[in-house]
Amino acid sequence: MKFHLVLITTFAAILINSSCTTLATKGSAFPLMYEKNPLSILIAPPINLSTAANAKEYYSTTITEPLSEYGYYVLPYELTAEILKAEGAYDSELFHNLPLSSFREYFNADAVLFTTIDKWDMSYLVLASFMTVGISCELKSTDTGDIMWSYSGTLKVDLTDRSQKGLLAQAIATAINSAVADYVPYARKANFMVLSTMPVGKYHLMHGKDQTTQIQSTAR
Amino acid sequence: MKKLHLLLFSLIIFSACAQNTIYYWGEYPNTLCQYRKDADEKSLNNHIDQLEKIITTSNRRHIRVAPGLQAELGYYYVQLGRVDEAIKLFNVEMEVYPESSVLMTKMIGKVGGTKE
Repeated sequence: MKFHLVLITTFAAILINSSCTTLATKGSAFPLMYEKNPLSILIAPPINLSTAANAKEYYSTTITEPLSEYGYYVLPYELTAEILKAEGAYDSELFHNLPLSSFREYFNADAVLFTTIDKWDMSYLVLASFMTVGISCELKSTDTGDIMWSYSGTLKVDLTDRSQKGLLAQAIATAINSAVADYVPYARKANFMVLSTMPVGKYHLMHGKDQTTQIQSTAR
Repeated sequence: MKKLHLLLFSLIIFSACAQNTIYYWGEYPNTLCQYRKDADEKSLNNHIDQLEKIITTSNRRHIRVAPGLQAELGYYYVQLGRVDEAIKLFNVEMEVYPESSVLMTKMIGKVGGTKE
């Protein structure tokens, strides 16, 4: 018993020291998700804090698929974004902190997913190049405005081609060829990663049964 | 050439973490992204083709079409003046996903009203 305690303490200490994260279960981290049991989600137009100008348009194409696969009904983004544009609400910064009851009335959305693109760039070193996509997400109830789930994650991809000669030439070629849209597959991957911490929705087999699934909760 | 490397690299990543999927997505993320990028008739038609294929394939496999895809296709049909087909799709979306009915009813009312 004592041995176990020591083991657990050591394990926790390593985790906290190495990455500032702790282990939690979905049930303990996001109890409101099980209480409110949201089904239909509206994706708010992403908030872009990165330096890439078109990241908002491209990134928004990568959320529907993972969110649907985790069991939710995702309101068709192409439609809802058009309606929000027409209503002058295409910048989510504007309504992020306002009551969201109009989203329930107009769209029948149980929740609104706010996403922020923190990082969307490429770093070039002499012999290597890395692509970084960093996102943070918040799922808010349209009933109460409560944050039911939130998470953030960064995906760093090593694009250095070590199999070829002339690494410097390769790095320069990457710099020239990589456009904002090339990040899309990585953004999609980052979304699958981040959204996997969300308790799954009605259309997923594990719905209502994943309270004990362990996740790494980000330190606040 | 570099693009090919990038593609290969991403394929390796994706196959390494293959997921069990509920729905069939085909090339959806790619054709949608291409449409966002080019925003022209060719990329739109290509994306519409893809959505039609996804619906046919899903039906053939007897799986539910992913949330919102039939509504999205209906929305493009409206833009092309194919109103009857659009309304049909909005109705199907509503049948499969009753939680979409508020928005779908609005869409049907909107395009039905502008028809004549």
